Amino acid sequence: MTVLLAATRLDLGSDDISDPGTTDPPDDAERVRLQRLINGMADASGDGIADALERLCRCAAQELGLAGAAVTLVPTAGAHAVSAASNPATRQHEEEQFGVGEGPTQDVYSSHRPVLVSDLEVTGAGRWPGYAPAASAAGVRAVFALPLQVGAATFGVLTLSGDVPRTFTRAELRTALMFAELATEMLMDNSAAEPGLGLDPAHHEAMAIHGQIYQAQGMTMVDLGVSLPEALARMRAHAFATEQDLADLATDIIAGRTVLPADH
Amino acid sequence: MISPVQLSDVFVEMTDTLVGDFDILDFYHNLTKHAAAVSGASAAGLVLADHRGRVRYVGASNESGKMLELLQIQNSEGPCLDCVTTGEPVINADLSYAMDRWPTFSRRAIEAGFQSVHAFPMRLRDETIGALNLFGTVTSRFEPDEVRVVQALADVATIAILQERNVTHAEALTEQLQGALNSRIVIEQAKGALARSRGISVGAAFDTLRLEARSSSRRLVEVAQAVLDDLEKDNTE
Repeated sequence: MTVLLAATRLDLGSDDISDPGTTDPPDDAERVRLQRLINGMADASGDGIADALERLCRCAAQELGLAGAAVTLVPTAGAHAVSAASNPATRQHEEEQFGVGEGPTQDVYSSHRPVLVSDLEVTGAGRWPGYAPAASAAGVRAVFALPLQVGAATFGVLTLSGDVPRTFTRAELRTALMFAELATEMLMDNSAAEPGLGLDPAHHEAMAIHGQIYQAQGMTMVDLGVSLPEALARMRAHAFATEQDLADLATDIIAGRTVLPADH
Repeated sequence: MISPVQLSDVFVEMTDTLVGDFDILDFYHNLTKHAAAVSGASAAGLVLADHRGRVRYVGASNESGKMLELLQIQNSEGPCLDCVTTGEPVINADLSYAMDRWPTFSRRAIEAGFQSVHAFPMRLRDETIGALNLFGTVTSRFEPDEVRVVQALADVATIAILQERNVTHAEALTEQLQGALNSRIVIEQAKGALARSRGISVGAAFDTLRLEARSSSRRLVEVAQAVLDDLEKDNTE
């Protein structure tokens, strides 16, 4: 019922542009509506924080009419953990960004600001020469990445992706930001974070990492006699040059099927 | 009551909390100083409930204010405790008539020269996080307008305090997530590096790391980091 009303309201809004600002529901009402939608999502009914985030991701993708949504925690060039994704292809898209070592998710984390790209084929290549082609190949055309943050503390990113170029209306952007806020609250409410203590056990499960990539990084460090960051850079360069996934390359390195070329 | 201009300055200061050098202890002190100045009270004090519901003294406009707050907490009685418990303000309480209600606190406060007391809840929706207390040396009555102003001051301060708590919580969570992620990654890297340098399997390398951690009573991540540091050093020498 609520969903229908919202859809009707948006349709009216696009026909009648005289004053779209007055048709927004108050923040609290919107928050309650989205919270109900998330709680009502079928599947992934577990109680863990990763399950809750997955419900949120599915709900956000559905509500905003996007191909996917994912939550990634503390993503940097050297490490990241995709905690939840609305579907496997979206998880793959997030992993891809780590594979090439750049992308909107990492930019949001380092800049503490949203990154909104309505058409990657228009503006993506100049900004992310490694990521943009990979995203295109995976069918991602639009990306909206939002920080999960309180004040200056940013602990993750909600990345929304679309398979066609598109922009957000003001109302959609507001909804997207509300999803980011709800994800932030989920992570905060489920943790009794006090300075100096370790991470809440409930959050450990949400820190999924691709262990093999880091194992292969350690091996490459020894093989090539280079530092750890350099080893990861060499792996990325090799994966890029040979047009394969970083994860696949890592598997080959561990199995001894691939040895990266050393300097001469 | 102070002038509207001064009053608006007070409110601006009390809401200007999202600045880099924001110090919560300074904030508590300034809040009580302003509350005393705005209302003409001789002393003001602030108590907050911690996450277990225990009431703690956090700041006062002067030593008298501090003494009066601690007096209430130590004796488990007084207007500020009532206010935190009920979420309702205590206005214009005359200590001479409060001997039944707060016997120890009233007697000691009167001995110290105080006559009147007021307590305003620090409240956000249903949650009462503490109380702002004003103490007068003469029996003075607050008019409804004054009550509204002090309660408004308590309300904006409540938002600032909750915001600061949220930020502290988020900073701690960020550190913990980063720390947990780094630990896991360091262990994986060390597994790979050790496997390669000794020509053993990744599984055997992990067993070696665990054994070393157990026998030296160190955390696995510390052992892993040490292994990586050694191997990385070899590379750069």
